[in-house]
Amino acid sequence: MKSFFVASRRLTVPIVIGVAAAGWYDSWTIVGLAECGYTMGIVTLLIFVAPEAILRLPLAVIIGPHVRDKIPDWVVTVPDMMAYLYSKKVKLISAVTYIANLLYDSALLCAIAEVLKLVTGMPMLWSLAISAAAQSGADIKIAYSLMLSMGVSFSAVMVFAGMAAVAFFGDVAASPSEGFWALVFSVLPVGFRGLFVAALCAAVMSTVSSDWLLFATCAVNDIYRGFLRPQMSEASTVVGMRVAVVVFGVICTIGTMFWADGIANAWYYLGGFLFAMFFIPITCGLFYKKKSASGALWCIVYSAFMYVLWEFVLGCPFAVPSSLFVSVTGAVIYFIVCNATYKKESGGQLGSGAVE
Amino acid sequence: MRDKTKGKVAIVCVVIIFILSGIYLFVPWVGGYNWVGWLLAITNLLAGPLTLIAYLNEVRKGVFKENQEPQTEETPE
Repeated sequence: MKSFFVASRRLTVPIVIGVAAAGWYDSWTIVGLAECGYTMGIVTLLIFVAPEAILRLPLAVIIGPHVRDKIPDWVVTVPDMMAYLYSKKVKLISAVTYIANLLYDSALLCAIAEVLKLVTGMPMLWSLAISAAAQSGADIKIAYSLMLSMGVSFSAVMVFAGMAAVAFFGDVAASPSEGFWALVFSVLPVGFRGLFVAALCAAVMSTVSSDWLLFATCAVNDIYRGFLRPQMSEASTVVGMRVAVVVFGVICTIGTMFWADGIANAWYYLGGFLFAMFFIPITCGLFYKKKSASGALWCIVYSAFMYVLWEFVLGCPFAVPSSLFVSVTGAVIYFIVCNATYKKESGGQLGSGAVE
Repeated sequence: MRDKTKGKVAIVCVVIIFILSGIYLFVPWVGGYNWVGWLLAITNLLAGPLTLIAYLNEVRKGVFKENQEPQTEETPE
């Protein structure tokens, strides 16, 4: 299983850069950022591109190496880490809520469907048919930092491409993505157009394939094998995961209907959702001495419900972004519950994940 | 590369992020978009192929070759 999930933890810096870049950079980085550049202009560099790279640095230089060097070998997935840091109940809720990110992959597929529809005329529906693997924490520091610097350059290019699209086609395009693709097919020479489309397909496939594997892992290895059939063999688990990949692929394809108007908001919604739910439990689980499983459980469940409520029902009152509101209030709940239950749980089997 | 050297290389990489972010944010105000365009073209056209070459080099050295997995710690109950 270690070979299946994390390549036996022997990946070197160039491989980790390639794998991480393939997993992180996708059609949202190409089309979504261009849509952001189209609608918001150069301020996208200030409010997203630069902050995204800088705020991911703690993951590259602190959390990633910490997880790689201090966590036991059997921890290969995020739900495994939640089981290690807290309890099996927290692992279950983490695995279930993480699968919601499937909708983000639907947005990525939409980008391919849009361009294939533009190129071939096919209706959209028919057009649709990386910390733990590194050798050491020091390798992760170098690989992720280099990848983030490459990402800043690449993201900046896509923002400028979106701005060029609005300059050329702003008054005739019906949507930002239509303007962007009009720019691509009018400015690029013939051979490069196909190369660009192929590169987009490759970017989407690289991210979506790893995400579907993650979801299949959550569903089969973490939930089904972890709680319903613990005696399941590794070979059966791998077969089950392959079936689950197909199932999630179908669900993801159906989910593309939510992104028909553009994917610019995909990362805002789904990335914000995951951040609000997991940032505090994971970082505090690694470093907070008074953590408790109840605190993590309450934080994750509250964050999942409140994010949907704040964003889609209440419509972000006072223009406070849902990820900000939910992560701050979720943190308050986490610390209150942890301090209330820490002494009771610390005498029991709290995960030995108090990283020294 | 020893861990201490890797740590220093990582610090240099982190500094590069801040330098590039500063260039892309402030150079258009000072010098216009031409310099930024050239810099973006050079960095992107170099970074991708260099990563690919390094990646292929590691594959050639056998990083993905199958070998026996070492014993792992038991999963707790």
